[in-house]
Amino acid sequence: MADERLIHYADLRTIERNLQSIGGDLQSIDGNLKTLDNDVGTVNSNVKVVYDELGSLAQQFHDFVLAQNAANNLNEAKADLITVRQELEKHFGHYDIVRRTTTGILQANDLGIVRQDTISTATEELMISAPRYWLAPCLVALAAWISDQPELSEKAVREAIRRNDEKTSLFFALICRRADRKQACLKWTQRYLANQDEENLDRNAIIILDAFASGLLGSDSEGVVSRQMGEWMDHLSEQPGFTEQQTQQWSDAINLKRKPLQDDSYTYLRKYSKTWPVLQDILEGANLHADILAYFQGIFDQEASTETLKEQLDGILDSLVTDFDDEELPLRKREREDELIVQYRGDKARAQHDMAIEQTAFEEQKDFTQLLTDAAMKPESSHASASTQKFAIALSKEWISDAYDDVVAQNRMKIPNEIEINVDTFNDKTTDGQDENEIVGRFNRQIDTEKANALAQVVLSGFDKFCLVGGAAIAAIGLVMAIAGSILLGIIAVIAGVAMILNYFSKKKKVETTRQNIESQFENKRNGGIQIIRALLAEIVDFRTEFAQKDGESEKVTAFLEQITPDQYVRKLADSNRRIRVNR
Amino acid sequence: MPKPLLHKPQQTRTETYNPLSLTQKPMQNQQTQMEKMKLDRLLRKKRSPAYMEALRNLDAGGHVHNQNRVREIIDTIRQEFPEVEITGILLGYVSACYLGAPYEVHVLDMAGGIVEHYKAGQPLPGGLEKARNIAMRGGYAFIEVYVDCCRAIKDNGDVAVISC
Repeated sequence: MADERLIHYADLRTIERNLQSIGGDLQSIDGNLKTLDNDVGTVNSNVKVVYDELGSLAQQFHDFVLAQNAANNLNEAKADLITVRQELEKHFGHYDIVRRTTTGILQANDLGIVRQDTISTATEELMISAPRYWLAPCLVALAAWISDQPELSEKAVREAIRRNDEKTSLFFALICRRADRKQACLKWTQRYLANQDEENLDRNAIIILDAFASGLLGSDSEGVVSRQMGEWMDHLSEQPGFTEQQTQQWSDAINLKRKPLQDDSYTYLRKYSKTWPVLQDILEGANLHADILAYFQGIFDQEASTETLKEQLDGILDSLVTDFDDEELPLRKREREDELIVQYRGDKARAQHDMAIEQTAFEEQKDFTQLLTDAAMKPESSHASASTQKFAIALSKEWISDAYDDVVAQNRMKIPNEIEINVDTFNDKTTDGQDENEIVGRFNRQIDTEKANALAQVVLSGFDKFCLVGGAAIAAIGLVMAIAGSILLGIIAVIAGVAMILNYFSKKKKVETTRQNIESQFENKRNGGIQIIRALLAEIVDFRTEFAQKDGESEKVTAFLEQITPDQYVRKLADSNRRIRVNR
Repeated sequence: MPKPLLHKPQQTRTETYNPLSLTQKPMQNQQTQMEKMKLDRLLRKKRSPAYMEALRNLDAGGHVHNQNRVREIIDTIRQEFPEVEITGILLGYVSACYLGAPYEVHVLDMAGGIVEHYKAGQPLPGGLEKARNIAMRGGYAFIEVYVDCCRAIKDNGDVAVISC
């Protein structure tokens, strides 16, 4: 075999050795790599430690910076506090004395343990030292009043009014209330309120109005405060769209008292009248009248407590006497901020945050009518006293009446004249459910028509009808043929004829059974339908009666609102036990 | 808050299109007379006894009304609102008819200046249909029908407004 090639075994040991040597070297390299890898891991962990330490160092640095800033802020605040207080002392130090003296005189007067000479001397000196402060002449007037010096008192009051009419009026209104001088208190209150913007009443004005409504400021027999409120109302009403907006607000507030209807009433109307959703809606609207009446009556039946209000009034007097005057305010704000920075160990952000909260806490403002609406309809959120709720309703009664009339009319607008009856395939209408005979008659006629149509479908076919005559004829022919000799054919014809006759009778029986079933089904439908229609009509009669009765309740609400007058609901309190005592 | 020394200046009012006007001419008159809010306030006022009496008598003439009588009623209506050109905004009056079946309501159509009685199922003309149900079932003396609302008038002349 010339093409065959022989391969001889060769000595490969050298190659194997060399390969083993290479393998050993590779293992050695692998070992080295592992060592390197471990080293890299160590480096990594070292780097991480470095990073951690760096982070910690950065944090420490950051903390240090913050602490340093805080320390700086703290030092600055402390230094500034000293400066501010020095400035306050320098410019307004005597104001503080005025405030302390006023508080002292009020307390001393309540207790009756200081002689009038002492009071007079103390106050006149203060008048000289506080040439711009409104409280100083107030104090003089108060002391002169206590000492029975009307001329001096009047002069001082005039000066106080010149300096700050609003605060002076509020001050004397509250003093007069404490002294149980109700008539004077009302006049000062009126003066204070006349200084207010009825579109932006602040918290003090709201409390004063609450106190007035509760009778704490006395009985407004001369109508001084009521007239002021009348002026506010007139002024607000002059604004275009104001009355309409009020009416709309009251309508919305009244509609919020609507409640959904109970599910178990008017079962047939719910099921067999497409008009039900409208009926449900108007009945809910009519149910509102009794609820609104109960709500208003509930308010007017409430017993009023004035203890909290008295505390609030004393609180106003206290803050009026102890609070800073407008010209002190920039420095006082700086002082307060510095105090907070010191309190929070130099944390300026926290101090400023607290300052913002303190400033906005008592800056709530409302317009007069908003105050009335909130008091009447949202007593939970407005914290209005029972007396203020009554007063607010009384004062807003025209708007409430208009709004209520609109709500009633809107509901009546939806009353359907005709109520649908939808029983299976029968659809009809009734106005008041009184036309039972006519409706049942129409229902019967419809059932008759439907039944006739259904029965018309169940009749023998032409072939079936032919089977009787045709079968008899074929049987007769077969009989003749059998007699004539064609026995086989004759018998076949007779059998066929008899089969046709039997078919006829069988089909006829089936049709009759079906027709009987149809008759019975339609009679059931008639009886059931009439029962449903009668029940439905009875419910419609009940519905119209109930609606008329519930809707009629609206007259009671109107009459209730009609008889309310604002004056009637300003509480007349028994004499207060606080009295000014004058030492002679 | 203390009252500002001067009241805030009223915003300059600009004359706008009056949506209540049916025709161009009355609309122009309305624009010069008053804006819609003032009009609403005016039309909310309690109706006078003379006005109530005139409209209660709508039903008194039976089927056919003397044209002079209708003119008198329309004059009384105009006198009730002397500040406003009422014919431009008031479509008419609808009230329950006491002539008995088959009549349901009677209307005074301001456009035609006629009083007519309507049977059940007979549609009311000139946008008055919307007041049919409340006139029949609301218990009001009558319903004034406007382009954008109805005003239901109680027997004592009080007014309730229904947007529609």
